[in-house]
Amino acid sequence: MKPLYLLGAALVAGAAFVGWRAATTPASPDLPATVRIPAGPYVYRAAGEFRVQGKSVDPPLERRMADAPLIIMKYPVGLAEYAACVAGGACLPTVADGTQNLPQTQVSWHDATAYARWFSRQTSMRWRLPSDAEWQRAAAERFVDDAVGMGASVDPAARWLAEYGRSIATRGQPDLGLRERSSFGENSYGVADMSGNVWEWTDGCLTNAKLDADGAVLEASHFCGARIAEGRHRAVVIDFVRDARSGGCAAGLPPDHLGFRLVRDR
Amino acid sequence: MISRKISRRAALMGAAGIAAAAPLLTRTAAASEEIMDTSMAAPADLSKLQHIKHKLVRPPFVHPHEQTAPAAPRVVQFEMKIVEKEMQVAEDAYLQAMTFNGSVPGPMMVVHEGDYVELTLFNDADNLLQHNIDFHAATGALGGGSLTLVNPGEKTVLRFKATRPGAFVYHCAPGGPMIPWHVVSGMSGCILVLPRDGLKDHNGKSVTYDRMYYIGENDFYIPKDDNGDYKRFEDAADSYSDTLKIMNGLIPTHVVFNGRVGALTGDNALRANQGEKVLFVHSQANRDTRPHLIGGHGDLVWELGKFNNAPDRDLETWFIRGGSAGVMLYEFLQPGVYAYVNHNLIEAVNLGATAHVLVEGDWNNDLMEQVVAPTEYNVAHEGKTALP
Repeated sequence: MKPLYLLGAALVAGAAFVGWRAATTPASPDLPATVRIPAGPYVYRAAGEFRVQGKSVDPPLERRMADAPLIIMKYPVGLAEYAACVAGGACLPTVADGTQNLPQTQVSWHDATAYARWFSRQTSMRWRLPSDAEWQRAAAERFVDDAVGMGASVDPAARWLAEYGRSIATRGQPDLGLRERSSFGENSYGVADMSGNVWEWTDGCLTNAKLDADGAVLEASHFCGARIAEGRHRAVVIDFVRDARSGGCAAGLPPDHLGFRLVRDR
Repeated sequence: MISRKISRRAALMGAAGIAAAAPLLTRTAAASEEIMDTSMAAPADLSKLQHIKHKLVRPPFVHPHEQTAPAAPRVVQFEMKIVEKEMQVAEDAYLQAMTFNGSVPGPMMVVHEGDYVELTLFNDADNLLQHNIDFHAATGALGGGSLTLVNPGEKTVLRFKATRPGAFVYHCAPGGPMIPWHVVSGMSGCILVLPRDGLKDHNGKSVTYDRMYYIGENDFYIPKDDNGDYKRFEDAADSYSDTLKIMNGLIPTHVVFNGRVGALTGDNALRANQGEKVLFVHSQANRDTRPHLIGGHGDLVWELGKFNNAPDRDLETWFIRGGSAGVMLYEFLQPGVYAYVNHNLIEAVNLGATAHVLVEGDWNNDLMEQVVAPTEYNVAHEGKTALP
């Protein structure tokens, strides 16, 4: 599969360097609205398979301290913004297009990453996908914690059934009608439309970790062939997929739509 | 909308409407040539038999019933109303459905071999179309179809003797091209005719079930508009010509259990307990399918659905011919989540034919154990011995 999406990268590399704008003008009309998440404490729960002595447990809830603010787009990247990247030859066209004020959907992790590269060149700023932790931090109360809340001693099938029940409850019913910007409102930081019906690509990878009895990580490995899409639940989606929704599923629940927003490095 | 319905119906029913509704009317007229009545034949006197009534319930559930029956046959009475209505079949797709008793599939009926099935069939007065019912379990008169053609606002009562034990499809068959259209619009269901002394395994030994689920599978053919979105229609007649084009291409847009993508997953997943024997009755009135229980087996499978044939054992996947129903019995040995699918996996995953079964109990490591949880291995030293 690799050669398939390296094609996208080659296109990006070949695209012309376009324009220059002062990196210190966040209020430029050409720049998207952003929200500044202040430095400070936040909680984070990783996604993946965490085990204590071989038994599955919830990934630990980490209390983290961010020593710098986080600048994140207020809204997901919209159709017109993505279309400009396509017109510039740096992004691949996708079936979701048009002139409406709607979020860009039908994009893969590679599409989102290509957009970030192009947009960074356009603005002479460093834009990228958020990490899973950054997305959770910016989402604040909109982050849907997916812990099952069972210890390691529970029957494996009972845990599996509990995860099924929890994901049904938090995921809710599918909702395919795309909405205009701001339709899902803002969270306490003023970030709009998080956990609506567009799941957002992050740079987050799956973690496999062994924990000690106190929940400290003994060893961890990461698998990045699938990335974490954040929304009403955390979906692990293969990075070249643009539409993870399907009719049925042997296990797991699909996102309604895949889109993205970027964070800006200072 | 209402006035449109009435005028369409008037056009369909009234002589004045013949010219206006010509294509549809000729098609229904073809059916009337098959119409007969039985009043000239000698009467059958069933007055001495016990009469019982069952109220039908929505699939995947089945009305309360006995697995074995008293020796003397009974007259088992059911009522069913035909309802035309728009139904959502996927998050982004709607069907102008035609239903037996308001559900797709129609409800499961359970009787015993030798019983008399007596169905009162109502065609809702708000419907547009003529309907009837063809029971594969019945003998003669096109399965009852030529005795039961009812106009909107009419009712009929059909009685037939259930002479052969097994699961049988019933469906609407009102003549000509109306037949496949009504069936792919949802008009099919299933009747289970149990042996009087209950089910038998391959050795002829009695077997019972703790629960029964009825999985009715449907293939839908929903037209799309120029934008690629599924079209919605005013009523069934409005949907006919576009739908026919997709139908005749033979590639369904949806293949679903219980009338809708996700109808038997999530909050509506089937449930069972470890150690329970569950009878799955699976019907498909129009198209072949191949049920498979992911993580389980078919302990006893009446693939053809007919109990005078000994069941097959330990099947992985079984075949249901279009226009038939099959029966499978499985004892859940391990708890957890099972997926019951049509093992054409494109149809299961992408078109919708997936159900989940949530089974409670205690995990048995003797049957299956994760000996080593997924963990990184040392590529320099490990994994060299596997390949030839």
